[in-house]
Amino acid sequence: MTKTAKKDIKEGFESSLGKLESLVRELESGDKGLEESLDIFEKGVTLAKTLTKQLEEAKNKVEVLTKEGGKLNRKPMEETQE
Amino acid sequence: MPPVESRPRVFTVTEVNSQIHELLETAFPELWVEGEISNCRAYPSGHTYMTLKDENAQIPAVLFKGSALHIRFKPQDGLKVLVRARVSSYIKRGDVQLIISALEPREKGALQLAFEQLKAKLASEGLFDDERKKPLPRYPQSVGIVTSLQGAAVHDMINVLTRRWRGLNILIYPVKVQGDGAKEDVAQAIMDFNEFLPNTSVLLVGRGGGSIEDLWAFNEEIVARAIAESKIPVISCVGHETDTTIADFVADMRAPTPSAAAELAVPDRMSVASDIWEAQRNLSTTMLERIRSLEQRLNFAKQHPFLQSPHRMYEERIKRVDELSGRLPEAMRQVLLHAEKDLRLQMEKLDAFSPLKVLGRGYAIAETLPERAILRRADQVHAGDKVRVRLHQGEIYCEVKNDQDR
Repeated sequence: MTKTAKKDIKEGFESSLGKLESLVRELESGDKGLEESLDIFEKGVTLAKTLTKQLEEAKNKVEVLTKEGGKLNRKPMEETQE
Repeated sequence: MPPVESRPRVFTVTEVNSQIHELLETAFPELWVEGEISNCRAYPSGHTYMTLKDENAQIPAVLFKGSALHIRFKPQDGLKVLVRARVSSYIKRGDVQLIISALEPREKGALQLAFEQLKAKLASEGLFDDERKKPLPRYPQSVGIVTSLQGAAVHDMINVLTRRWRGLNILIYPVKVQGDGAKEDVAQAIMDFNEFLPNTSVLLVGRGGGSIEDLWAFNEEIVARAIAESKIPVISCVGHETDTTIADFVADMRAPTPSAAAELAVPDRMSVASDIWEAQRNLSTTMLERIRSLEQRLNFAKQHPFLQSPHRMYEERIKRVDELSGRLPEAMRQVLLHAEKDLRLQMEKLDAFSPLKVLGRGYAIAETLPERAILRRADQVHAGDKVRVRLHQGEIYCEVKNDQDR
């Protein structure tokens, strides 16, 4: 996976969670028809599953920074991550 | 009084002052002197001049730049101090003065005093104000750590971050956290994060426990200012719960320990997972309730007689049609009867005016021939014209015998 794709997913977490919360509120407000309610329900459940999967499967990346020639370099730090 | 020599030696002022200087410098060992600071003035050169005094006497004193560097607090008027100094004089003026090599506050520790002085200074600049505090992101994507690679702190932080949250990029900037260069290291690391990695979600700045001397870098102005100027929110974590540093006051959030900082930096994924689960459950219950309520409405509707046996609705209609069609012939008969009666009446009326009826009473109608115009006046005809005369029964043809006007 490329760095940017990974970033997209991570940036998506907060907004996806917000989306899920607003879907719940929308459904609870009860002013939607059956068809629309089912649509909201389905979207919400799919989002919840994606988010849970992300929480379970994403990994942390630990890097050590070193400054050389006025620039910061990143090197992976292997030993600590369990 | 010693006798004056016949040929007294004449000194220059410089010679006198130099001799006094030498005498003083050799006569006095380094002394500890207790007194109160007054007339304290720090010069841009780095030297600080002051007067030390007690109730009855005073003496000028100087703290040269080289010695001042080792003193963490700022000498100020009114401060009771213990100084280590040698007694000397300023040759150009002959003034006796103390040259201070060490200086300690009398009533509290030097570090305590330095801490208080810097705290008061930064507070007066508003650096600790709540309005300056930046909010921490709820779901950070990257966490910067400014600490030493040695020691447990860095591992504690990584462990806690990893236990609590996933999908993080943890960036460790190793720095000296104590001794010479520590304060510059820590400040530079904070500035570098802001310059090179400005998208870092949050910074953890700190170290594990140690003596107040060990933690001192985090009480330095340069570190405090780097934290204050950081665009990235900073969580400070220096030493143990009981240690409070200037960095803690300036930071956007203060954590008692490095592990606690890691806990503050990221949410607990178990609790977020349970939030998500809760949201999902809300969706399901709401949806079920919605369906159940619709079902109820449907059932209620189904109990309505029409829906229970829909043919009833038609029965009603058929009955009405039957009824109407049963009544139709009778209605028609009535209409016809009425019309007939009406007709007869009209016919009777007509009969009354019939000329035939008049003829019956003995009148006759004369008509010209061949026009068959009814004769009303005599001048309508001339002698010799033929006329027809209709009688009550039959008709006769006649010839006119005369002209009216002749």
